Amino acid sequence: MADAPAGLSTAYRGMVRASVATALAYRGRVAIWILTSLFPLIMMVVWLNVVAEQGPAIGFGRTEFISYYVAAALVFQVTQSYLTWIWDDDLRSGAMSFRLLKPVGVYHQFLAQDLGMRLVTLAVLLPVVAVAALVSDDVRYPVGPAELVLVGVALVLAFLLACTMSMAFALIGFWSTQCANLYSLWWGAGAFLSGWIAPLEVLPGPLRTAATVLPFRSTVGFPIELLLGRLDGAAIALGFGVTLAWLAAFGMVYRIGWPVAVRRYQAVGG
Amino acid sequence: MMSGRYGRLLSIFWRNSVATELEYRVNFVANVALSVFWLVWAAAGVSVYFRFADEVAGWTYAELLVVVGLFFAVNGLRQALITPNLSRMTEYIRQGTLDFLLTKPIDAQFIVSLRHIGVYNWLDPVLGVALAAVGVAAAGRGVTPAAVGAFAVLLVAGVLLMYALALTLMSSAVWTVSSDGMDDVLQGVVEVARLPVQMYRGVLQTVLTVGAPVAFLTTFPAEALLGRADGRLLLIAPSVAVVAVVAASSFWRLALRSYAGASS
Repeated sequence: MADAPAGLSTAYRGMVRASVATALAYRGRVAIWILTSLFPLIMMVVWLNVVAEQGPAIGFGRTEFISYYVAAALVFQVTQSYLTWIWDDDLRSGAMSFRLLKPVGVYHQFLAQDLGMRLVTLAVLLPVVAVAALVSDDVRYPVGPAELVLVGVALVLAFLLACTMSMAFALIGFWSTQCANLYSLWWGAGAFLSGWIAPLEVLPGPLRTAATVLPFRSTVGFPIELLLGRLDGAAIALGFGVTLAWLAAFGMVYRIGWPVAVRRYQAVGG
Repeated sequence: MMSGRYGRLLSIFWRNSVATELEYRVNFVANVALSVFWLVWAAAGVSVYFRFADEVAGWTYAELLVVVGLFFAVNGLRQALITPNLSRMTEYIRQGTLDFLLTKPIDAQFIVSLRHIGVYNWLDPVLGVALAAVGVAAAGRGVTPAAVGAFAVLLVAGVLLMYALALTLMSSAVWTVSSDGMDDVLQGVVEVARLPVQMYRGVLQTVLTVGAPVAFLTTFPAEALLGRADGRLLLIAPSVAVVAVVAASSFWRLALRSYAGASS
């Protein structure tokens, strides 16, 4: 993380381009990856039954639920981070040794690699969602250009937070073989507080309160709530504040943890 | 005679797989803990709807737990029996391992589709059926031996259909020279079975019942356990399953006939 800014941006351009090329070479993979965002749509299907049978649930009707989960499928592609698993694999296989030899920090290598994949997926998904929002009455995002910029910023921060959080977790891998499993537990518990299972507004009060201050909402629910125009000025400021605070916190953990962790690294296969 | 030989082979293969994976003992224990965690996760996840309704599309929370449990069981079987073999197809075809497997004095379909077993999810089917049992008890309905029998028949038919689908995917890998992502397709199908088909409305419900085997995987066995399955299914489901396995098997042989080998 200590590279000169100019050199780093050149390196990023190269690494992201390489990663985009890899993603394009495995187009089938990307299509399948998109298919894995089935889960939110399945959760949505049940809500549509509830709404049809009982009427709207706490301000969420048919349109709101559909818009929410379609956005969730999109946001998931930006913020679901597999870096802990990739990192764990690299530690076991010894691929980490090669990464350490490169002139760019490992953090940046992973970030750039991830970014390339996201760009390809978004290039496919964004137009689909945009067209859906234009032609369908059930996909509605009542926001203007200014709010869309905020959504964009929130998404970039969400991506950075998700990557930084999973890499901070990945450092555990230098001590324990269970780091990917621990991250699964962390993510799984967080799924209830992030807005992944259901919009936070329909959850019980205590969960909602906890979700406001924990990092998970920043990676799923917050950008979606912005996009649905459900937040007032104070809530928006709070959301960005919490996101930035956690980004700083996990960044700090990584910065402090990395030099200690890498000293424990014993190359496999050397 | 023949089946005895295959049974013995299977026990050797699987013992070998288990022994390999048991080398990582901590991982093994950790995966049991994770299985329990994800089961609770799945059961808790579908509870949020019932803050707003007592019944969704004719299913109460307790009844829905039966389906979620069976989803967990079937998904565990997929990960244990199908994923390890399906994911090896790319390697088999690219590296010519398939040439080598074809020369063995046993059926190629048998060795390609059943050689490996994953042990990390071995507990999932047990846990899933246990959750289904909890759901039945919570639904407050008694269980008759006839219901359990019907359930067993329908569940086996569902699993056979899943196997047929997997075998079809494996066969197509002979032409596409890659099985990458095929397990994700199968996972997608199973994922949809997380819910009873009644939750899907209109055309989609028909497609999932008639077109894809989704209803057979979890909805039908769950209904049998809850004592409300359509009796005709006991005839239809096994027939469909047998036809599907036979068809998939023919498709596999057709694929092999066009297989040119990797070493030539």
